Amino acid sequence: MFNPTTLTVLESEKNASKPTFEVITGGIETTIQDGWSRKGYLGFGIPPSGPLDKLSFQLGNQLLGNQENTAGLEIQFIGPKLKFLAQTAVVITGANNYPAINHKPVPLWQTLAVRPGDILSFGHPQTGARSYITFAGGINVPALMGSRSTFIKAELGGFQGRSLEPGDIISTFLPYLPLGQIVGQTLPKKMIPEFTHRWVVDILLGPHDDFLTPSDIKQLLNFDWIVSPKSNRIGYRLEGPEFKFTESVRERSARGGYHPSNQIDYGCSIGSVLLCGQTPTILLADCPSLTGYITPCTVINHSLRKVGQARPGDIINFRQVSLEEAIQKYKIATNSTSTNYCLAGYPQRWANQN
Amino acid sequence: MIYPEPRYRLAGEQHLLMELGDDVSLVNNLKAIALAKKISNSSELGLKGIKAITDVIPSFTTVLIQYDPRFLVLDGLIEYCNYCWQKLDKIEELTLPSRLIEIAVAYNDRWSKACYQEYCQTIKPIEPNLELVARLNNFKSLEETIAYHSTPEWWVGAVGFVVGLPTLMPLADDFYLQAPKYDPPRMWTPPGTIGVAGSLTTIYPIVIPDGYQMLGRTPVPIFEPKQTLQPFRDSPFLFRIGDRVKFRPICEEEFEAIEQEVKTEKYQYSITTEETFSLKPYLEKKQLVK
Repeated sequence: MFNPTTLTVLESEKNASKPTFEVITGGIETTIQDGWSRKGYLGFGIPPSGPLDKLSFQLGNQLLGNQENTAGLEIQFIGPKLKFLAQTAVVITGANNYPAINHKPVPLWQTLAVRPGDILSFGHPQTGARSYITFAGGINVPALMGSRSTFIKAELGGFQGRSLEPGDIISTFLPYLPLGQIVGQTLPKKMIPEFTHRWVVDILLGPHDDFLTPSDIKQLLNFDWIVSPKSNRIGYRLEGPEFKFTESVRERSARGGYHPSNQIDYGCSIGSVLLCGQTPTILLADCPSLTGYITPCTVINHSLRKVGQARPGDIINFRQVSLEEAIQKYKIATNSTSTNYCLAGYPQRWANQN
Repeated sequence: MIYPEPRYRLAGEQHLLMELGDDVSLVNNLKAIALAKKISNSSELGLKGIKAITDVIPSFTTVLIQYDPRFLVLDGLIEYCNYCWQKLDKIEELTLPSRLIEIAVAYNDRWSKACYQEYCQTIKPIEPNLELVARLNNFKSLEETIAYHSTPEWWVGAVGFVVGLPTLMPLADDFYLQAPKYDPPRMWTPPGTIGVAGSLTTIYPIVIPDGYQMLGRTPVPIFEPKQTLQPFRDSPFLFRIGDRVKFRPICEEEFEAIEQEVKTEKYQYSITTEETFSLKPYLEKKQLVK
């Protein structure tokens, strides 16, 4: 048995920290997330959590010279208004939500200098759903089960287990590098991830594709699935046509009084595309660890960010890939050196900390 | 049945679903639990300092294995799982530490009914949950359904879904219920709700969307992140795989009284000390062992 109150020492725990900003308004749901994700606790029903668009999040940290998994803020749709209490540097990444400092528009994907008293505010993104604010040094809240990420449903992690509210004062660790060395760093345009209203999401068939007919599978792969407004960090519901299911599954279900999508509860994970009755549901970072619905296909790790950036009404197209392609892309998504945007002259101080 | 050989299902590039059988039974469940324990000890893989297998989740008929495809190829993982399967102890020798935990339940309560009514108004009209379960299982009355559900000991065969949620099967074969899940699922469920679907029962630790039919509600917390109440000193989750649950029907007045006791930290949980649960006597009773 573990004791989850035991805090795990993470990358910068030993550094001093100081209050860096105060929350004026919290936005629709602004949470502290980090890229470490909780690993090994699925058996207790503790999901990985973390930023839904991990790539955008990590690029922000890299521009600041932070370890790429350092805790920052995830903004959903409507951003917060923050008042800075200390001099530091920040980067806004992800969906373009028209950030402004003291009402003056500022760019995304660029390291910005902020001074005490500065107000950071946001407009509404038209494309993409989630934006990130990363801070030089990273946010300091207690780490729980190996991560600082907020899991709102269970009021765990982050700042008091909840999204930010007016009056909250958040501390950050001291920057890794002198601010003068990082301010003004800009991500090359070609490295900015894709933002669209039609998302091509790579999947592997399985574990339960054999419950569907060939025409069901065709429909799954060819239909323009519409993202339902009933979507969140737990799962994304998709709207579209109904599935027929194979005859043997339908017969079994009729005998048992169940829906053909029902299955004896089994372990599931981030990326599972459950068929909840007739509603395909893509599980994301705050997902359950057991389910009683079948999973005809699974979104590969590399494509999860696209789902997290899809807005209600956006279209998702599933593209079937081979296991080899999925593993190739997994290596790209998880190998920090390949995603690492290495700024000239930056010390690779985090190279051995993984 | 238990399959003669495990079946494997690909669940993305980081997960493998191992299927041991096709029905809810204590034998299948204990096999899955024992197998998960063996597989998660990936030191048997001979990999030092690399955690190739990152999580293993047993359930009633399956084991989900999470692995890092950078360190372990699928064929190798399957070979390793087959090896663990062959090395498994005989079924009748499987044992688990087990406690009996009493859970007070206000059946047919007003909170889950309010949630049901909201679903009918906002999603689609469906049959009242307790009535549906009574009808599908040929009970004459709601009282009979409640008595039936609160009679057997229930076995915690899986923990998970969300923060320590237990999935329970009856420890007596005569007490298998059947019920479908919501289609589509609810957007929320009151905390403490007792749900049934298939032949399984669950207790919701927190507000969460799901699809089990709602029979009642318990005032007793089963997840306590602040860890102030006595049973949560070592872990914020009340249930462990292998525990047993007995539901005690209460009225809504008693529900509110217990709720108050919980708030003032005066509530006394009814939990027996740990005993060893062995499959052998259970199987002999079922005359499955030759």
